[in-house]
Amino acid sequence: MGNGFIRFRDVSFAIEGRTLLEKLNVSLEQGLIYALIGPNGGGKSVFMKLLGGIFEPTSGALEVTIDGKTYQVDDAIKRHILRSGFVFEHGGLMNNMSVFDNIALPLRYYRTMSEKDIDLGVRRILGLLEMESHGDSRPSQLSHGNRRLVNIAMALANNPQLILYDSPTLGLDPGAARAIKTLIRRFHKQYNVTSMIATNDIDLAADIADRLVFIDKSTVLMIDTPAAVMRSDDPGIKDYLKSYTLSSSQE
Amino acid sequence: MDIIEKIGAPFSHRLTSLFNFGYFVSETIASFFRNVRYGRRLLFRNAAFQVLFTAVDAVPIVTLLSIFIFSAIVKQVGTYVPQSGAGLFLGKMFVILIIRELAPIIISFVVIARSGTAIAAELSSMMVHEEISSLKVLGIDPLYFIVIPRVVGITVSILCLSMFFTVLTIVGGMLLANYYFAVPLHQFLEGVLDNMTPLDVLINILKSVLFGLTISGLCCYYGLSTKYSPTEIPQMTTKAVINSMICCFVFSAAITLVYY
Repeated sequence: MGNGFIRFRDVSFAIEGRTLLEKLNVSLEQGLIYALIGPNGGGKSVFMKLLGGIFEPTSGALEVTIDGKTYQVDDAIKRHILRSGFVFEHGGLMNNMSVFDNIALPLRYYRTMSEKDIDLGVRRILGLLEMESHGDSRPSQLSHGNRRLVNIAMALANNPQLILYDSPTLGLDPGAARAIKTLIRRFHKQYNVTSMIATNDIDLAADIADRLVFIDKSTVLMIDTPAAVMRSDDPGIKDYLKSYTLSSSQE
Repeated sequence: MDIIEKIGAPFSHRLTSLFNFGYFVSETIASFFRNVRYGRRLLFRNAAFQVLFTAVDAVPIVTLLSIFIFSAIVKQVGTYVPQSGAGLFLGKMFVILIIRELAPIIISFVVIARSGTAIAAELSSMMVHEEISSLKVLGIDPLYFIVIPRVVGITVSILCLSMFFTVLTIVGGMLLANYYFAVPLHQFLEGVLDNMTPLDVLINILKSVLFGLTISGLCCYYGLSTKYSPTEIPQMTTKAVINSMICCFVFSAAITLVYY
């Protein structure tokens, strides 16, 4: 385990007596794109929610190192040190607010700029996503793909160091999926963030990620470059990749 | 062993729920002090909207209930009291029934039916649709951002509605008694003022505030206890309503027994 940007130190997570992640020791480097892959029920969602601060570890700790200082991740650190964005598979947007108000929410809450600057900032982000005309719409009025774009905009407005994408291309047509992939790459460079993408789409993962994180049976089996994971001799990883290749060829 | 387990399980479940609710309340109070410098305008706006939905929008139904209740009291009681001194007796009845007992509890039931259900269902839905998770990712404490404006809004609303209901019912009763039984207005008013003590007003306010805190706290607690699926939304809403009603009845009876 190296001295990375974010570290899981002996992190376990259990809910209602079921252990979903056990004694994880994982280190993530700053500025890379990670793709989290593995069978369903293996712990991908829990890993993402721990990283996003939605769940708290049952035991162990999450640490973040910024400017040479190491902090244990808690609410105060999430407000001041490690800002994150989470692009949810479903939902994640305030349905009683307009798209504009959703994106402006963290800016208004922390009040780090004037209302005029918030207005300019939100319009700029809407412009980047070519969604200027949707500012006054409610999330429920948008298509599945556009809701995901608003989720990305909400993440970007918080000026994050970490963006988490939960199955970002799931349920999208090939054109929309390609557009999301391009946006992930573009914002990754533009905002110099660390990105984590949980996906079952191995082609997307191998194409976009600097590192693949393979998670199964409540533990991380391997973190390495896509090429190294594809060549792995681990029977669990081999079986998963084989079944993916088979199902892809049948489609 | 089986029988003991069967008897003990619901008791233990209720004890756990009570402990969890206590933890929820203490965490909500702590969240206020931890986050008080953030999002004040948003919180104030949310609390103001809560007052609008809970108090202002409820004025027609509260007015209607007030008319039914003062009509019933005046007609039922007025028929059986002798003509001389009827105003004094009716005034006393209104103090005992409306100010001490009925105003806070009736308003609480209106608020549970209109806003308590709405809060529990809305928060449950926010849990299911990852809106609460989204706030957590942004470092926004849901207890501070979601619960506190609702608690403040509901409590202020019950207090205002209870005062409105009390005044409207007494004035309405006075006018109706004058119309039906020719009770002099000043005599009725004298009956109210002679029998109303500062303790009565204080108890009315105490009950309103206590019911407001209880209803908003329980509805937020059950709403945020939703875990997995939309099928839990009606279940949590029902639990919030039933427990709020039981608590209001118990607190109302306890306060009456202690102070009168």
